[in-house]
Amino acid sequence: MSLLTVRDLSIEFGTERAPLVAVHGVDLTIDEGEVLGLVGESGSGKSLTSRAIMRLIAHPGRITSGDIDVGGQRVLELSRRELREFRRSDVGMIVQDPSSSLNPVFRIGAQLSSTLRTNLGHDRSTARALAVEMLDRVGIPRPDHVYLAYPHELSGGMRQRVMIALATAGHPRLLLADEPTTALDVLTQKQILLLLDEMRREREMAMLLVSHDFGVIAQMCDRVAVMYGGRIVETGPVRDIYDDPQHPYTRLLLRSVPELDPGVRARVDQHDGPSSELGPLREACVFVDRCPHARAECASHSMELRWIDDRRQTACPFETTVAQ
Amino acid sequence: MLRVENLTKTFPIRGDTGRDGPDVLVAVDDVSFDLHDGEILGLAGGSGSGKTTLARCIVRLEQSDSGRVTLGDVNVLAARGRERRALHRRIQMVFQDPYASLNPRLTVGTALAEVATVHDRLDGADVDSYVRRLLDRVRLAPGIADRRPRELSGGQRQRVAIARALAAAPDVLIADEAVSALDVSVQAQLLDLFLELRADAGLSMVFVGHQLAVLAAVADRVAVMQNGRIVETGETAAMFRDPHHEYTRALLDAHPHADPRRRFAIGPDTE
Repeated sequence: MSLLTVRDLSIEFGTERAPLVAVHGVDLTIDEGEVLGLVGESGSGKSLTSRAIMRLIAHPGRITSGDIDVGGQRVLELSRRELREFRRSDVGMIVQDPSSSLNPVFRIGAQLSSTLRTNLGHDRSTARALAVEMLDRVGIPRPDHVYLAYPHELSGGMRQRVMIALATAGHPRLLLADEPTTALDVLTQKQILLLLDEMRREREMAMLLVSHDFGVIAQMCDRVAVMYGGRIVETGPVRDIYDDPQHPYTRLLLRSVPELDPGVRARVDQHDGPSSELGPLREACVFVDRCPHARAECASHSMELRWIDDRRQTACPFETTVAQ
Repeated sequence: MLRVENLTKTFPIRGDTGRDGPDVLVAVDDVSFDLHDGEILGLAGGSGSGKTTLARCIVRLEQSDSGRVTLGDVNVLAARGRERRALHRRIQMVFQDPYASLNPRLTVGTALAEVATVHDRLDGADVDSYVRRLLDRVRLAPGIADRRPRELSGGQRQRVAIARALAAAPDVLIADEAVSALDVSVQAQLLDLFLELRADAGLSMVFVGHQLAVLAAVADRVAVMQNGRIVETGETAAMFRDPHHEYTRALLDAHPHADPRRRFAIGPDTE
């Protein structure tokens, strides 16, 4: 039984008469304790998909179809009150820029302990002690000192640790991590990823990790879903996809990842301009303009995912691997 | 081409840091290096290592405390007036966020023409053809000249920022995390472009970045900075094969390999 099930999720912007489709027909599942990666470039719809799970799509964006189920709760049908309860205890969220989620005028400790008081019903002194303990748990040196600090006094890595403490304070079963390390240098990135990995084991949380970096996904995830132009184009175990990517976009993505081999240049496509612009729904493959294997049939392809073995799906109906 | 000798830059620390010790931060600590003609030198290090401050000191966006920078036979840090203006042309910088360095109101063509005019680079050529040539060098279509920054993709904007640097016909280009904010496919395209520019125009470059994997693709040599000091310098391939300093090793070990068999995390159910 999956902890998270997303069925046929679509998100649109624009007006109802002239909709701009940002996400279309996305299906996802995450089992208890599992880590799913969602990888894609900017504009692919990966962050929107993750935000939709928390129902955080702001006007003029809207969810136009789909069903989201987290541990038996149908998220899109929750009342405001139920939604508040759901956000505070069932799901935690970490975003790229912690300063957008931390209030700049309150001390770290005040924010953490007020979360603990409202979410877990602790009294003031218990909340304080627990907050310091949590700061210590996420690897913050001198937690009692940081408890009294303001967000701007901390480095990016420390702020992200505070965010992890906040996001996991309510003991959620699912953690949504949206580009949690993109703003950090590689050393801090590694520490934060290791911390996330530790925390999710300790708390037995499932995690959705959203990233543009296949390397980050490969370090952390069991399975990955590759998104492009608002669609999932390929999904399966990270290892299988790394070894034998099926969709032409996945291959492009993997070729572009910078590796530590001096002088080896990534092979690049010469595509220029925005990778995927928002527009009305097209009955064509979203990758057709950029695909080296594009053919006439692609213009009328519905992008239905097909199974290629018992764990992997791809949206490309053609055998394109050999032609590479 | 460019020589940096014993460069030091400190910042005063404001407020109570809760730490003991002096109230200055030594951001760049007695740094020396040479950038050879036509070379791409990678400057690596984590946040706070001083790499960006060092780059900014070289172009005099920060005033260094002591040390010497020479370009050819010109003393960069002491140059004034005419000589200083000439240096502004000869050393150009490309930043991480082209939004912050491009005027949102100017069309790309106007912005490029402005730089060319200020530095008197037109040489009788008409502005339009100069702009077209610049756009062509960064592999952008001529039509881009009529657009404004917000109408462009992130990759296109960064190409414009590079064209703007090239408009001054510099001898040295300093790129500060110039590809860090871009999608990997766009990043790979831009790294290609930097290599092409070096091949075509013999441009020398200092390429600042925290990802050794990015530097691997472009840099001939890499200098690794930690706490304001260069702790290791070497030819890129040799250094990556056999890093001597533990900090270099740490940077290499922190690279997230796309191969899930090469994990630094304990990872989920690794067989």
